[in-house]
Amino acid sequence: MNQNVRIAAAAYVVPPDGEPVEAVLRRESERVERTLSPLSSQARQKAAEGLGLSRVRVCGGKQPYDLVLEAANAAMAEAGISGENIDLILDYSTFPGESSQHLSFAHKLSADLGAETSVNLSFKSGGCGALHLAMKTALGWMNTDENIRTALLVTGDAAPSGSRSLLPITVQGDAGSAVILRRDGTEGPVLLGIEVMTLGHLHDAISLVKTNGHLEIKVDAACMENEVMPVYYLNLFWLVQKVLAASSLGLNNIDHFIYSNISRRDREGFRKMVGLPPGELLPTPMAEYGHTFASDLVINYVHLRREGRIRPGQLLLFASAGIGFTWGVTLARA
Amino acid sequence: MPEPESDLLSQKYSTAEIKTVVRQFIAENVLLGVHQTVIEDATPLVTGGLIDSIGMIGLVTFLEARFKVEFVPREINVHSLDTLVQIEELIRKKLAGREGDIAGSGQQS
Repeated sequence: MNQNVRIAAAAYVVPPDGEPVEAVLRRESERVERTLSPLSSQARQKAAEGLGLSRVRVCGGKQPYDLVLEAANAAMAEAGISGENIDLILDYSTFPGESSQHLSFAHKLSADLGAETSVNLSFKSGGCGALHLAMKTALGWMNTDENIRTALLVTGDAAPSGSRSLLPITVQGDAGSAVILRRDGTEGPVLLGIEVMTLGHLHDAISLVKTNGHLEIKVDAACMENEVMPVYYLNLFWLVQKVLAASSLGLNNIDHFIYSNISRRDREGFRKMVGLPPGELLPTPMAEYGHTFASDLVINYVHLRREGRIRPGQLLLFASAGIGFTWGVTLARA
Repeated sequence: MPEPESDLLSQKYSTAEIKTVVRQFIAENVLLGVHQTVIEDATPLVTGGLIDSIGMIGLVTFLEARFKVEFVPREINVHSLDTLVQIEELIRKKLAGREGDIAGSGQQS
């Protein structure tokens, strides 16, 4: 990449209320049964095993926008900027809340943060792979418009009522997060490369449908098993190889792998994919937060930083895949 | 004068040979001797649980390297790579496509 663009700041917010995953699955048992019915009895049995999720955070009285606004303010404080410094706001929320009053978080954020001259854009795509799409989109804007130097990327996602189980994949927790990218900045990891792949023929694997007047997340378990899973890690692997090759690097050069919090078994699959020994993919707050779509990567990055694990010069590889179907990998040097 | 590459490809792999090579790779590298399953031509590899999504990486990487073909993501699903018969068919199509490409480029030059 020719541009000098850095991850200047990142923050996330989860709501204070929580619910045990067991309670979620009990409450949604009928929906879970219906979703898993096309699978073999063995696959149905495996669906709830190895999740590694104890609780999920739930919005309750808060709205996803409240989480996003709080996360954006925290990220701006960390980056030492005010609203008037923000040139671009990208909202890449996948499930911004059934009762959201706002057509676009980006436009409302622009008003609430005092980012009066920002370009504001919302797109709904990519699930947990969407952070890469957002970063690549921001780089495109920065590359073609010299006035765009600072971008605020946000996502706020909350499960529609009664749709928290995404078995056989995961269980969704609510969260909001914000990332600030700065061109020609001096703080934060510099982006070295971003690779994204989308396969539109898998758009129905996870979809949003209206049932009895309410939004529901529909998981096509057969499609996930037969169409998505055979290429799930393979596509990630291809993208990882591609992004590393472009920087003349290999997997053994990576200091920190930052991957989604979908489930323990999925993280184990990713660990095998990148060839890490058992136990070397560091723990995350997954058990307490659940899967928060694209905020997972922000949460895990922030935790690595809080724990002081990221040192200057180290290489970070962010990877995730989600709705769309979308795969993404981002390489950065701290 | 060296043989054209297209001739070498078609001579190199019979239907049975492709299946034998792939069967051997799966037995040695994917199943790792853990499963005692005999891999018949129609044994379901993916839907039968013998090859998981991590195993697919090894299988596809092997096929690409061994037969010098390239896959695109859309080609890879349980309908195309679930059995040795399907794998052989896909590889054969790929090789035929390569032969066509090589012949085409030869005519142009």
